[in-house]
Amino acid sequence: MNKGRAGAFGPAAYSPGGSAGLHDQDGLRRSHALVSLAKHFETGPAMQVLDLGGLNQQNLDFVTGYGNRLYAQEIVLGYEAFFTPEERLRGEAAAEKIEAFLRECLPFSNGALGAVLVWDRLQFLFPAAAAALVTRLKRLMAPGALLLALFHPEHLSSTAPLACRAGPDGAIKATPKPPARPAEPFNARAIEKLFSGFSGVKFYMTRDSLQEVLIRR
Amino acid sequence: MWNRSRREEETQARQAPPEPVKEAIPTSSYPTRRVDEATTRAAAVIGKTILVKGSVSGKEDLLVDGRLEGDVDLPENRLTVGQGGHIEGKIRAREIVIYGVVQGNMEASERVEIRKNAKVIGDLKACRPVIEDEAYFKGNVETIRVDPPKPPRPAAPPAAAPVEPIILPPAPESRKG
Repeated sequence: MNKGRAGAFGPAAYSPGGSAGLHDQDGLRRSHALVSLAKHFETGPAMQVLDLGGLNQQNLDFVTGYGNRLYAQEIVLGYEAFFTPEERLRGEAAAEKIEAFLRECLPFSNGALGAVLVWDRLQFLFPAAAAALVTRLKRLMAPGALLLALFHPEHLSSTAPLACRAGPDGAIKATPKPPARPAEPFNARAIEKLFSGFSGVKFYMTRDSLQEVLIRR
Repeated sequence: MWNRSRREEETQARQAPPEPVKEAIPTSSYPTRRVDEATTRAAAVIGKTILVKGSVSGKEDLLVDGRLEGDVDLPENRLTVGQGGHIEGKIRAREIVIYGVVQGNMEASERVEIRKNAKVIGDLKACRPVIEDEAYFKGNVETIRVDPPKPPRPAAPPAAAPVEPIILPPAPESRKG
C-alpha cells in the first residue's frame, strides 16, 4: 500500500526551512497531535477516517495520501439543521432525537473508524449532544484508534468554528469560519471527564490558548 | 456621373494585379486522424426547466442545468452539473464537475471537481478529487490509485555457458501382470 506524504497549503505559506517557526502566522501552527496522527497513519494499515469539520482539499490530501478513506461532514451544520433553535438554546433535546441525530451523522459499524478529526466542533453542540457523540465515537472507533480535538479558551462564550487544514510536517492552518456561534466552555478537567472512557488522553500545550487533545481508544 | 464612376471602377479593376493562383492542396487518399468528437462538440444539455425521471447514458458530454432523478452513466465523457442542476442518483463518468446539487454516489475514472457553493451528499470515488472551499460535502471520499506504468523489464542476461541437453534413460517397460 502506498503510504506517501501529502497535504500542502501552497508554496507561499511555507518558509524554505520547513515548518519551524510556523505559529500564529495566518492561523498556521505546529501541531504535535497531528504529528502523532501522521505517525498513526504511516504505521497502521489503511483505515476509515472521519472528519467532522467538513471537507477541504488539504485534509483530503492528507488523509487519502496515506491510502485511507475519508468520510467528511460539517457536523455543526447537521446539528443546526437537526435541532430546533429552542432545543439548542435550552441545551437539551429528547434522548431519542439525539440518538436519531447520531445515527444520521455517523453511519458506521462498531470499530470501523481508525481515526477521527473532531477539531473544535464539540464546543458547538449542547453538552448532552456532545457527550452522546463522544460515547458513540468510542463505540465506532477501533481499539488503538486516535481522536484529535481542539478546545477554545474557557472565557470565550462564542466564537466561529475553525476551518482546520492539515499540512506537511505537522502544520495545521486554523482559520475562523464565520459566523460566530455560542461555544460551550471546557476546562482540562471537563475534557478529561468527557473522554474518561478512553484509554488515553494527551494534552498538548500550545503558545496560544487553543488546547490540543489527542485521545486514544 | 454614375457612368463615369462605374468606368473608373472598371479601369481600377483592370489595373489591379491578378490574384495569384492558389496551388491546389494535394489530398491524400490515406485516412486522416479523426479529432475526438467529444472534445470539440458542445455538450448535450438538460435545460433549467427540464425534469428527467430515469437513467441517462451515452457517449457525449452532458450539462445538467435542470433536475435529473435517475442514474447517469457516461464512462468516457464529462458530466457537468450546473448551478441550477440537481441530480438524485448514481453517477459514473470520466469527469464530473459540480456547481449544483448531487445526492448519490459518484465514480469518476479521472477527476471530480466540487466547486464553491456546490452541495454533494454521497460517496465519491475518483482518481483526482478536487474540493473548493465553501462547497458542502457529506460522504466518503476514496482516491483511486493509478499505478504508473512499469518500465519494461531488462532482457534476461545471456547464459554464461550453453546448457547441455539432459538425456534421460529410456523408461523401463512396465510389466504386465
